[in-house]
Amino acid sequence: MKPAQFEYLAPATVDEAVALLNQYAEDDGKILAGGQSLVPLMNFRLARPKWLIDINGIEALDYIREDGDWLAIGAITRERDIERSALIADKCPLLQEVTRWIGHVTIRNRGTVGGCIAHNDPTAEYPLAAMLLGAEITARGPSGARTIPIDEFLVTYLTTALEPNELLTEVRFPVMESTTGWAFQEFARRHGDFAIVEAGALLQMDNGTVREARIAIGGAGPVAFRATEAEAVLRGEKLTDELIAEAGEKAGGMTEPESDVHASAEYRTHLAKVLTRRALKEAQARVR
Amino acid sequence: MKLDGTYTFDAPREVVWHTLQDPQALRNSIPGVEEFNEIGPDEYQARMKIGVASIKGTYLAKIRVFDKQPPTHYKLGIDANGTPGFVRGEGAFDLIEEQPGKTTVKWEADAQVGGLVAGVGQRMLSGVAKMTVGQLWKAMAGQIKEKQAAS
Repeated sequence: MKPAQFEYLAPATVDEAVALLNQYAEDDGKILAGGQSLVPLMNFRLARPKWLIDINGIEALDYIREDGDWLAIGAITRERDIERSALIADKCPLLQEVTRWIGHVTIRNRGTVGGCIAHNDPTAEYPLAAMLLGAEITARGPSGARTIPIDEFLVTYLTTALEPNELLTEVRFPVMESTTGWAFQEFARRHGDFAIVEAGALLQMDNGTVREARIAIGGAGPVAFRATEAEAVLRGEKLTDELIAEAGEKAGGMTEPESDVHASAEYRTHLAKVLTRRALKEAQARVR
Repeated sequence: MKLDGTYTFDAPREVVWHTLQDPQALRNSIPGVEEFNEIGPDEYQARMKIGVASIKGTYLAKIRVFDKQPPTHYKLGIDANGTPGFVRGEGAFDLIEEQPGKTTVKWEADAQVGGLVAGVGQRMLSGVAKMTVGQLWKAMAGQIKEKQAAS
């Protein structure tokens, strides 16, 4: 397995990368970040970029910073660095937990936060975490930078709102309130495989009553989505097991899964219900 | 791979039928079409770039229209070969005028997909296929609108 022929470009700065991307985007130019999805696709020759713009040398894109109420993460920050960051563990524990589910350690050593979100695999963990937390994406194009809310950024299968000549430079996650209960649940045949279905939940409560609930589902449609109908049944209500079951049903009802060799559409919908329930129970136990 | 779906046009059935059978409209509506030639009555040869994001492949396809029962029913046969694999299959299309000026196309297709795209791309194949068919309907609807605006 060897890739089709391509030209390799290695810019040292963001400006240089954006200029190269602008020059080659229309001629099958492609950004290489951690390469954990792109390189296998190239080796299978399913992807045949003519120009490969490697951003791994741009040190200015490798950082985890606290920025007011946000955590700003540079595009080429390795997944493994998120997993081991004390700042992430303290300010956004859900993100750390989700990271442990991405492939295996060797993959996380190379895979990047920006690459994972820009690739937008419908079962990938970071797009789901970004939806759940309400992240923002910063992109740079020839005419400057812009910020894109995650629900506008994730479009469909492997497709984002990035223009062909735009580079994802930063992912911004809101800092989690320390009282928020959170959980992430995933089902895969083996740990490290692509998820069949995954679900995440955030809960804020006042004396047993739900003040705010957020639920996101992945792997059960073209793109990770917020189960808004499930959230709506929880808000302002006492969080009982019956209510959690009802929220699970609502979340399952919002899925648009396809059948394939791994699982039928019906099974995926079922999983979405079960994983939503489990995530809500786990989040409930973590509420402070 | 079995696929089905519906699409509703804001146009009378006769108009939808004629647009769907019009080679020019077909050429303008097939996603990623690079070349499109009529090689016989109701037979076409097309070169198209299909896929999603950077995973696109170029396919050479023979398309055949048969079993025509104007303006309610037709079938399409497709035999496409490309570097990432092949697609062979048949689709049946039924045009139903739900109410005056609203026509729903109900379609179902059974296709064999082989080669690399079937193996490696399996996880997203039927979803992306449905999305691509959806793009075709949208493009067709756009052409009908243009025609109606012009007349």
